[in-house]
Amino acid sequence: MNLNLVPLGWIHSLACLLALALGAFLLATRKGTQRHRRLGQAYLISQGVLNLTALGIYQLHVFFFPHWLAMITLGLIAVGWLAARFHQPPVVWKHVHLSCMILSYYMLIGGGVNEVYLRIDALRALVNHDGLRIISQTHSVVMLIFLILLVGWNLSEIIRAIVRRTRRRPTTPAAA
Amino acid sequence: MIRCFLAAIRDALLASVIITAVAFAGVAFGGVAHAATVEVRVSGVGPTGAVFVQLCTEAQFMRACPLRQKVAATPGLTVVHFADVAPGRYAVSAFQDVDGNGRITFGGLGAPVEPWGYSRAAKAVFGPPLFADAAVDVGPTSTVIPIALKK
Repeated sequence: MNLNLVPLGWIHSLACLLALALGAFLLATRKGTQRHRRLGQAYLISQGVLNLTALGIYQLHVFFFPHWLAMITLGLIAVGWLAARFHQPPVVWKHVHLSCMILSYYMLIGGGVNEVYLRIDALRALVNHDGLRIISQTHSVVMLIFLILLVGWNLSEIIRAIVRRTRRRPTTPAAA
Repeated sequence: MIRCFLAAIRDALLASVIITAVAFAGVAFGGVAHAATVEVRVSGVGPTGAVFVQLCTEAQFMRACPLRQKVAATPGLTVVHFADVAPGRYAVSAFQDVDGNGRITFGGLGAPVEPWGYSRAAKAVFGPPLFADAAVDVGPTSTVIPIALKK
């Protein structure tokens, strides 16, 4: 296993592990609670640290795709946090928040897939000998899972909102 | 008694000087006797840019290795000689510095944009190759290692 990291790389890695754990917990547990808000802020900070440190790592002396992905993820967590904090845009803020957070977690897992294939010698040997097929397949599976999560979660929120609205509709005796 | 003591010190000093000299001679002659010459034949060299070649042990692999050379490009085949190389296993890497910035340049996807290659044509599809894939045994005599640059 190759853990030849620059000092900033260690901070980046620790922030990644923290964000991985927090993100999984937040996605799996009840939303909207005080605990969700508190841990959500911790997730926001860990994502901020990991993406800002990613922007400072230049082992190849070039600004390349991981840096672009870090900038996109910073945008996602900013929009996701603002949507939840200010309940904006009014009707769809939950969808915006949910989608941004799922996508930010997808970016984290996607980056993790690359790191795993790069740093674990056996996996790197597999890619170097058999080509990029195995890593493409892994990314495809991860992408599919997150696409299902994204669509499924948003759909369930829409259905829940429709059910809630139907229940709230006043039933008058005349109408009955 | 003092004379005896001084004589003992003198003998001890003399002995240590002789032992040290013998040890140094052993290391020096031993080193020379076992040092090898390595000839790296880099093919696929273009007309522009110096050729950088380095020999790395496993501990040094993918870092700046002490055994490295920068030579002027001979289009087609550039030959680089390393003298007094201690026998062992080495991975050899080479690249042509087309843009003249003194290091290999990478593109937007993280792949090198300058011609590069490793000994034993070790593949580097996603990240650098493994040391074992590029490692070559250098014996006590001369060794020739071919490297084909690719882009």
